[in-house]
Amino acid sequence: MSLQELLQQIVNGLVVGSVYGLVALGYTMVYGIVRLINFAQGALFEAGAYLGVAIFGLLGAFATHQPLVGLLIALVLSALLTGGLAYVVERVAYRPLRNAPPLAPLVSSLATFFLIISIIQVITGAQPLNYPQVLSVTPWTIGPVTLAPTSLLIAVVAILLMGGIHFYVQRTKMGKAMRAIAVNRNAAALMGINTTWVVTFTFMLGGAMAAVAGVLFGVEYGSVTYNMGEFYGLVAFTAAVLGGIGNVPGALVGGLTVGVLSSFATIFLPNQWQEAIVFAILILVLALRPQGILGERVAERA
Amino acid sequence: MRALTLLRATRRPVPSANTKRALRVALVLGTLGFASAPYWLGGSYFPDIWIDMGLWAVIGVGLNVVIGFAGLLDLGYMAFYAIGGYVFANAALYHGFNLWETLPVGAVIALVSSAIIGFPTLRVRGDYLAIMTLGFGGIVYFAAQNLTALTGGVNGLYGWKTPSLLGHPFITPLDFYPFVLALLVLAALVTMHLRTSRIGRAWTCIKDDEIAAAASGIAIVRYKLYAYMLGSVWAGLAGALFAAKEALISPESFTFDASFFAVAIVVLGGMGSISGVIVGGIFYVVIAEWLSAYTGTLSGVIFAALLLLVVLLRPQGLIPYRPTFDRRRLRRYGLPEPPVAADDYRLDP
Repeated sequence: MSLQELLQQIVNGLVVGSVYGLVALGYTMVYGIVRLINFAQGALFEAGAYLGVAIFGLLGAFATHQPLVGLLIALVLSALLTGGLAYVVERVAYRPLRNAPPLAPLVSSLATFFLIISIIQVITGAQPLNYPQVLSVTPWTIGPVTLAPTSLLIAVVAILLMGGIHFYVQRTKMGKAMRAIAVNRNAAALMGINTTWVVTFTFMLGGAMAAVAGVLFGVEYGSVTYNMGEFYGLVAFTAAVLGGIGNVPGALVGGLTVGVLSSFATIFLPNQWQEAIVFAILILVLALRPQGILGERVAERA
Repeated sequence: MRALTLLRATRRPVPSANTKRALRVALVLGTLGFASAPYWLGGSYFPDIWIDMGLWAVIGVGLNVVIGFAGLLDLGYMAFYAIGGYVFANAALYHGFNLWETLPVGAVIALVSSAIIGFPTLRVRGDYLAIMTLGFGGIVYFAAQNLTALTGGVNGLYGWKTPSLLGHPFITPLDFYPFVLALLVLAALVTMHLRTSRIGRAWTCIKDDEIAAAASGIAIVRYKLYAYMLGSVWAGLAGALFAAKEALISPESFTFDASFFAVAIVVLGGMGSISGVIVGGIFYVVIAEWLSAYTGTLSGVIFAALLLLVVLLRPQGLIPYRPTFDRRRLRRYGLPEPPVAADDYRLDP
């Protein structure tokens, strides 16, 4: 393994890791507020990616003439639609179970995940769909590494969005309400915060971020498959746990770490080992440091 | 939502003793008729389906110990099914073992591996446990695909000598069926007794209130580990029978989807209810087998939607678990009779 190869894998890992981080945001915010592992997040990521395919299809020739505008339209529309889907999911599958025993919302989120994935499979079939190559693919050569302009764009968009969410949670009134609910939902409600809406909004925000990640992922890899939400949902969850679940900057840190580690693994091991590496990271982190890199010690042990 | 609450279990008038007896006789006859159906339906298609039903019912009964009794969400249960299957396949293929000699070995290896996995896993809190088991299931699936020396990779293992018992070879599905049935009956009886045993009562405590259980002196991690092990063992046995019946074992049977369906069977059938999860397993095979013949991939949608509906509208499942009081035991210990009839006990608040 040469130094060049190493640097190249770091760059690749950072790009894909920033996308993981974006999906991880949804897990981490929902967990931070309602203490629920939102399995549906992986399915929303996938739904966003497939909506992106549909939007690019509708834009047709326009997207090839104006690739950047086309991508922007796809990102925004897909985020809005998936945010709407997240609203429906929250309204139907989670809200009625707000006060149910803890296993119930977990099972219902799992069922929702499976429902969305199966619907996508029924509509599109089991074959992977090609993503339109919207931006020029001539990669830049910077010193020893090559970097496609699209990849740079993806990383920049993802990291800017995560910064935006961090700002939103820390500085705005809505963000303050979210943090208040995370501390104590009943007390927040007594202070006049509309907790139902804030929780719903958090779900929608997480879904929208997952959709953006889905479109970016499709553009980066050039194709989407009906079961991508399964594995990448788990990768993003791993990222959220690694960074410290409930912690917004943790999602970025975790995403980049998982991205770089699994990218490294491809140097030493055959490609299919990537999955095993992710599972191993997840199990090790949960067993050894369940609070993650940036998290405080919230996970009480039995 | 208001109108839909009618679907929930409501209190019915208590039937007379005669009606009860007639119902019980009908239930027993119906069960016997259903269980013996492969013999009078004949062919090889129906026995095959009935074996599937039996195996999924065993999976349901085993996972019910983990989810229904102890309240632990296990998303990697089929890993133990895979372990049982691959242990049998290796023993049969490379060492010429018969199925019957392998079954105990498969069970022991499933027990040991569940202990190894469970020990670090069960310390983490409930919802993390789901993810840990998901990761474990993923690793076993990955190993089945890639550890070619042990598992034959994606092609799987096949071509071992036909299992036989007392010189009688096992070829057709009908040959295997009685053993699947026997395993199911054994699993149901053992878990039924487990539930009311000291361990089972500790599980109920843990499920209802973990902190209170710990405060009452129940060693939480140890009892959770028991639940995990005593649940996984059935998957190991069922997996070995499955591999023997199919005469092939490949990673395709142990995907995350399969573990999801196992959870769905338990939740649909009724968490904690043994008859419920058996019906859940039968129901699953009916949907997976017969419905998918007509609707293709739509069966996944239907099953997921059903699961969602059950969680939302009838969280106690199709056949809810209703604890009954052992009046003889109460009398033996001089305890008062329970103030309410067992029929009045509802899990649904």
